[in-house]
This record gives sequence, structure tokens and C-alpha cells, in this order.
Amino acid sequence: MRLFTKTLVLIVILFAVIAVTISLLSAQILSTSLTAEYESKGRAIAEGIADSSTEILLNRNLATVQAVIDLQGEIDGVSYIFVTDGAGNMLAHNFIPEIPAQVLPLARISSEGKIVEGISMTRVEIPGRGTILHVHAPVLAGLVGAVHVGMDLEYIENHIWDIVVREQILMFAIFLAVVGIAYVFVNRIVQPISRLAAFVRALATHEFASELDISREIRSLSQKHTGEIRELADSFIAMETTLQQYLRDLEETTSAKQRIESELSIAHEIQMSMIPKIFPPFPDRREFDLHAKLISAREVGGDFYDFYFIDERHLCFAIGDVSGKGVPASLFMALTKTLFRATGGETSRTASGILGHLNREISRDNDSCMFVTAFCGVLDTVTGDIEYCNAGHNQPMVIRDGKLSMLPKSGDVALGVVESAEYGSHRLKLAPGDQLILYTDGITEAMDGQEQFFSESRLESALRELKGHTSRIVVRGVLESVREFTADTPQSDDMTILVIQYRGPDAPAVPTLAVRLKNRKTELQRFNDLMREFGIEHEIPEETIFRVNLSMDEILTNVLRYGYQDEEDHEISVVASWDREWMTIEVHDDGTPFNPLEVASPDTSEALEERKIGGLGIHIVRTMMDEVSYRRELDSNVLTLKTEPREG
Amino acid sequence: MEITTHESGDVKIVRLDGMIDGVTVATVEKELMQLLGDGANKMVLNFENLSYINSIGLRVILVVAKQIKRSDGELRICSLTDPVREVFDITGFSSILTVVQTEDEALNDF
Repeated sequence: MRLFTKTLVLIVILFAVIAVTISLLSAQILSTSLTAEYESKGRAIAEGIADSSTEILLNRNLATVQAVIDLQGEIDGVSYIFVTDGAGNMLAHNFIPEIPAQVLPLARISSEGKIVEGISMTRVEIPGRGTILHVHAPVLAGLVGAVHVGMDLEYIENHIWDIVVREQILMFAIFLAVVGIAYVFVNRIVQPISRLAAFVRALATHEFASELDISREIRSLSQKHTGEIRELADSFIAMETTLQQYLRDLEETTSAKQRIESELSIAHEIQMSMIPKIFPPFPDRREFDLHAKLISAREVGGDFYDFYFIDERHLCFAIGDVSGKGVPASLFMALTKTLFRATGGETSRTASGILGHLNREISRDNDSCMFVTAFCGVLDTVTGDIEYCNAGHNQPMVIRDGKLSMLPKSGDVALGVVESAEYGSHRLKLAPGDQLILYTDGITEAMDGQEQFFSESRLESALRELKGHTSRIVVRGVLESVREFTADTPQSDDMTILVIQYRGPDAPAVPTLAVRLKNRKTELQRFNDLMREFGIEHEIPEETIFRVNLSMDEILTNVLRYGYQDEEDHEISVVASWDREWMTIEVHDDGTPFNPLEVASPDTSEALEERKIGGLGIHIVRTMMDEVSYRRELDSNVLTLKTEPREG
Repeated sequence: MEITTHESGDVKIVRLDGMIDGVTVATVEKELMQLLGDGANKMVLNFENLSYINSIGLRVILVVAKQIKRSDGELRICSLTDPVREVFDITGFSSILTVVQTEDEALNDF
């Protein structure tokens, strides 16, 4: 209930109690005073008649008595008058039509009730006339007779009631007037408070883009009122203003932050889109094994790497690091990388020539004074000879005949510093099995919690431990060592590593198992056996063969079950290859289009009762294999699986 | 695929030797259903010499486990080989079924 209604109800109850009490009291007082007046009036009438009729009574002139009685009987409140003789016999009366039986005994009563100066008064009930005050005035001490006057008390009661009712009406009228005034008054107090409440409610859902309509009202409240209401209104207005300001500030900081974040992510995208990321990059070239990885820092540096064939025989490769960070660095990196691509083969076929050209191009309009450190090499895939040039970049490491060493410094300046700089050409010969390791300072200068660098010496020991492994394993191993060393310390600069292992012109081809299976259940067993033999022959770990066989079991079972709607013979072709690290399998079937990767994985945490039967096969494949991809090619589903041996 | 059954008290111990794949799964299912049909509701599956199980095989194990559970019985599986354990782990079967190290452990207060 609202404050106002509550107050009103309380006032009504209080008023009713007061009104009734006052009425009762005044009725009581009125009744007492009226009765007293009545008594004296009755007595006066009775005495008057008695005094004036002594003579008449003595002379027995009854007609005169009757006339007096009739006259006096007209007085208000007089019910009846009668006169008796000394023996109590009725001499005259004004009863019409006859004397009620109850009156007769009264004629004889002389000394009952209240007696004042010889006159007695009693209350009697007379049917048809109600409560009567009976006044008995003896004439000459009752010797001659007595005068009896009956005063109608009901007349008094009616009179009192009449007064009480009028009183009540008057009081109610006054009450209404008071309530009306109170309403106006209370409204003046409550109205602003409820407007303030409405304002707070509106504020809670307001977005502060525009001003609230109610704000103006609150402002005018503050002007119209004084005291608490003004204080409240003022502080509410202040609150709204503060909130608006706060939200505006918040919005500004947020958008500024978002802008920076998006710039950083643009820089990251520029950087990552420029570098080749698919390995092996030239699957049909057995002469070398190349792998590289760039991990950009949150703030993004300007690292890059790239490689391409100048001709059938010569592979050109490079790694670089642009000075600075963020968008400028990544844009400069994009420029450098693009120039590198355009220069090799077209303008120059040597590393020193390429970097020399790059330097002139970069230096020409280099207003921002940015520079790039870079290492470039050209590998002769037939002989293993590398012609290289180092423009101020970290000295690469080389593992030759199982021994780790660092390439000597060449003293050439970074690209973009001196336009006329000459870049020297150096030579290095790799024998089959030798590895060349290029990296940026993000690796050697990666810091741990104590601000210590990972350093060349830690890189060397990491490389020593990775001796004999393929380029991919070396890249991964080095990055793992760095991550172990830095632990939770945030990466502050890009980290890039590129490893080339020369295998020689006669490197063996990758072992391949190609099988054509018929759409029969028994073919699963045949493939299983062939794969196991393939594994033994090429020393593939048993657990890898197990995972491949289980995955192929699930895939082929699916194809046999759902792939074919007819009863015809179909052929499923499976080609598996093993490059000493990865097992890659491609499955072609001409069944109905089906992408197993779209099948939702079952909830493997569900309890036994809820566990559904089905969906498990695909889940097993996705978990057992490291990579699963699907494509629809002409009339075939092509599923490619890749996995590498797992430890333990 | 070789399936041998023996009893220890009222517990049926079933040894599954070999591989449960698309071909052998029918035999395994028939054999286990036969045992359930005969009223067995305490069962130990010994996987000591089981080198392989695929999703069809898992389906049969799940059906058996659900049926035994429904008849207030219990199924325990023991002596998993590494490859089978891996399959059990990645499919969540290790956590929804009672899997123990040895047959003795499986029979302990059955």
C-alpha cells in the first residue's frame, strides 16, 4: 500500500472513534439536561394547575378545571394531564378516547419516586405512549385532590437523536474538508518522492545515449522544492551526470583498446599470410627436407622466412627480421618478402646478388629508416653446395658430419641502412644428412622469469640433443626447449626457425602402400594384414600401425555400411605413405557423399545408462589420427588421414 | 577369435582371445548373449589376450553391460592390453565400466 493510502486509512479510523465518542458524550449531557428541564417544566405545569385550581376544586367547578387541563395539554412534551380528588377519584383529564388502565393506579400514588417540595416524580411505561415522567402535585397537601401531569420522555429521546444525527453530519462534512486539505498537502510531500523513484527506475534501464524525459522533471523539482526533496533531486541529477560521463569514458577506452587489438591482429594476419605454412613444401623433391615455423608475439615483430626454386635445380631460401614492431614492421616485412620473391631468378641467381638488389630497393625511399637483417642462401640440390649471404643476421648453425658449428660472421650490414653497400658471397657444402639451421633473435633472446636469454649456447645444446632427427622434429624440439625455458613469461618478440637437411640427389623415395579394396567385409582383414606387413618392413612403430588399422577399420566399415545403395561391385582405393615421421593415408570411395567430420562426437562422459550406441567409430578415428580432412572430388569421397608416432 | 568360459562360484569368467573386429564380432555377440540368456548376471571379461577391438565390438560390450545392469548384476573387465586400453580411454568406456588390472582383482568380493 502506498504511503498516502495508509495515512488516509489511519485518519479515517481515528476520526470515526473521536466522532462516535463525542456524539455519545454530548447525547449523554443533552439527555441529562433535557430531563432536568423536563422535570421542572412538568412540575411547573402541575404546580401551576394545582395553584390555580385550588378554588375551583373546592367549588367543584369541573368544567373550568377541564378547560385549564386542555389548555395546558397543548404544551410540547405534555402527554396527558388529569386531576383527582382527595380519595384519588378522577375528576378531569385529557385522555382521548379513554383512560388507559395503567394510569389508574398512578392516581393514588402520592409519596413515591423523587419528591421535590411535596411534588413527586416517577417514570412509568404506558403502552401506546412510551416512557412517561409522571408528575404528581397534591393540592392543599392532597386534601382537596391532586394534579397529575405526564411528560413524554420519548419526545426528548427523539430530540436527542435528531441532534446527534445533525452533529454527525456536520462532523463528517468537516472531516471531508480536512481530508481534502490533507490530500493536497500530503501530495505535495509524496509526489516528488514518487517522481524520484520513477527517475531511479528509468535510470536503471537507460542507455545514456540521450537524456531521459524525466530528468527535466527532476531538475524542476530541485527548483520548486526546498529541504530534503531538493537535496535528493540534486544528488540524483549529479548521479545521472556522473554515470553518463563514466559510460562515455568507458566507451572511449574500450574502442581505443579494440582499435589497438584489431591493428595487432591485422599485423599478425599480414605477417602470417605472407609466409608459406604447408610442409613438406615440395613433396616430390627428395633431395632435401625443409621445415620452418614462425611464432608471432602478441605485439608482432617483423620476422619472415621464404623459399622457392630459382630453377629445377636451385632452391633459394631466406630468413629475416625487420626492425620495430606492430603494423609498420609487418608492412615492411611484406615489402621485403615480396621483393625477395621477385628478385630471385629474375634479377639475380646468387644470394649476394639478391640481397644486394633488395638492399638498393629498400634503401631508396626508406624515409622511416627501418632496416632488415636477413640471411639468404641458394642450395644446389644436385651437389649440396650452398652459396649464401648474411646481411647482419644471426649466424646460422650447421650440423655437418654429426658436428655442430656456427657459420662464421660475414660483416655485411643490414638491408636498408646503406644504399650503396656491397654484399659478399660465401660458400658452404652440405653432405647428405647435414643440416643448416636458421633462426631469428626471438629464439636466442627469448627471456625467462629472471630476464635471462635463451642464448646461443642453449640453442646449441638443444640442437645437439636433436641430432639425427628430421627437420620437422628439430624445429619442434627447439621451440619446445624455448617454451620450457621461458615458461610463463610472455613472448616479447617473434620467434622464427628454419631448418634444411640435405639428403642428396639419390634420396630414397617415400615408402608407399597402395591397395584397391572391393566392397566386401573380408577386405578389411586383408588391408589390416597388408598394413601390418608394411609396418614391419619399414620399422613403423607398432602402436602407429594399430591406430592406423583401427581407424581404417572404422572408416571402411562405414563406407561398406552406408556408402553403397546398390548391390554392385565397387572399388575403394587406399594409398598410405610413410616418410619416417608421418603416416599419410588417402581413401577414395565412389559411395554416396558423406563427410564423417560433420558427425557429432558422442558424449564420452555420459553414464552407462545414458550412453548411446553409435557415433563411436568416427570419434575413434578423430582421436586416433592427428589430422583428418575430407573433400568431395568428382564422384568420390576423399578422406585424408595423417598421424605421427606417439610416445609411451 | 577364441572364447572360453569358466565359472568361479556364481561368476562367469569369459576369456576373449584374439581380435574383436567386423568379422569376429558376430561370434562374440552370440556367445555373450547366450550367457546372459542362461541367466548369468555376474560376469568378468578377461581381455588379457585381446589385441584389438573396434567400435562394433565396443557396441556389443555396451549392450552386455546395460543388460547386466538392468538385471541388477555386475560386469567387470580385466587385464586390458595397451591398445585396447587406449580405445577404452578415448571412448570413455574406462570410466563407465568397471575396469581392473587382474582377474583376481575382478573376482575380489564379487
